[in-house]
Amino acid sequence: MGRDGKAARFEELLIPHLDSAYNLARWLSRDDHDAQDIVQEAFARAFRYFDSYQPGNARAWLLKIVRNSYYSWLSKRQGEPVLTAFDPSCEPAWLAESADAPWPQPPESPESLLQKLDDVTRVREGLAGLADNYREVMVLREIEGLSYREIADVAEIPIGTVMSRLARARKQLQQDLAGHAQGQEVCDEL
Amino acid sequence: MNCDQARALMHADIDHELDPRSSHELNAHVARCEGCTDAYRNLQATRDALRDPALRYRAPEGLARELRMRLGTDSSQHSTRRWRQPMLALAAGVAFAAVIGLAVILQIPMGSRTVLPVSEMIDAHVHSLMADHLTDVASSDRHTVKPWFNSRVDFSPEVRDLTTDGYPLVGGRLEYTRQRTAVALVYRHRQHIINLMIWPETAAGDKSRQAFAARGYNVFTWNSRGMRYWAISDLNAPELEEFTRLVNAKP
Repeated sequence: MGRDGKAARFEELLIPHLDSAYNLARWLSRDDHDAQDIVQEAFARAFRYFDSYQPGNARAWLLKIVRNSYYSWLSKRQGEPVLTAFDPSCEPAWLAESADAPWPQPPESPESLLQKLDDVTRVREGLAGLADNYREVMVLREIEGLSYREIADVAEIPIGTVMSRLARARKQLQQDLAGHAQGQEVCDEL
Repeated sequence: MNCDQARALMHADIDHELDPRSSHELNAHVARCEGCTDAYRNLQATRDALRDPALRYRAPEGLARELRMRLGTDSSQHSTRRWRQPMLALAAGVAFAAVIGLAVILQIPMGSRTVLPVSEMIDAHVHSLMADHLTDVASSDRHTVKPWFNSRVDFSPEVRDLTTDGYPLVGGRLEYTRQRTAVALVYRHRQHIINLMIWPETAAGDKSRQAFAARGYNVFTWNSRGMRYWAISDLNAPELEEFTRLVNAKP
């Protein structure tokens, strides 16, 4: 098929997901201009890989490329392989050699959490303040509405990790919103 | 169902990812548990708040047009800037095949002592793949490999047989790293070689489990039962993680 045919097919399949691509890039990079650069790069890569694309879930395929483009961009920008905070991943039960970590208590004043949730500015700040690996699963789930399986594919993590990371991310967000300034939770059972 | 289980499952439940039976049990528990009712409501409220359309960014007006120009499908303007080169120059040596799966490089927490070792581990792994460097003792039988280390290192590493799980043992060798002699066990999964480095690390050592992806390889490290482990491979992260679970499963 000629190049024009490929370009037309590519456009028809992927331009409809431009908002999703930009949304993810914008939440990851937290900057408008950078997000545009990342989306440009992602689409360039997607076009190059388009021949290997298997018909299926175009949006998830594109979002995976966007996510990888973000981390490449981040890596180049900082010059060294020092990047986003990684969730030490308490999920695998076999690593919990100490006692099971107790579930965090719900925020002490539920009213104040609900009040904060009503304020979209605070919610936006709270979400933007999460570590990259928490923020990305939250955006993919809560804003892009991806299923756990799709999130697992885009973020390249097992499905079990999707659920537990979402659980931690939500708790972190709730704690941040309710004003419990505890910093990023670190898995301390290891 | 107890509260621990309920608190874990309610996330999947609000995401409609829970099977009907578990969902039923969960709701039965929540109905009679005040703490879980509060937690569930907070969760719903959090989810609902995140549905606010103001939180969803839309692509700026010019972006679609610019993309179309590069594709050449925008007939209103002929563009010479086609996608022959990536817009952001990639560092030399970053293979495109690696980009999709392995462009993620994860941060090492400030003050961690693991920065250098990641690179060292990858170096050691790559070096081992060269001819004649992979094993000092080549055997798929752990009863041959394990005793081979007895007279050569002052600790006794556990050597698992993971053949039925799809990770046959290839052999072992001595590895000199971090100013001490370590054990390297070599496993294989399909065509991928996995190096498992092991050395004693006291309980006072850094217990954190970490994972990294760099230079086309995946790396996991953890501390368990007095030993520090590093697993390095070009195998994808989920299957390498599965390997680490098998290695660390209680005997």
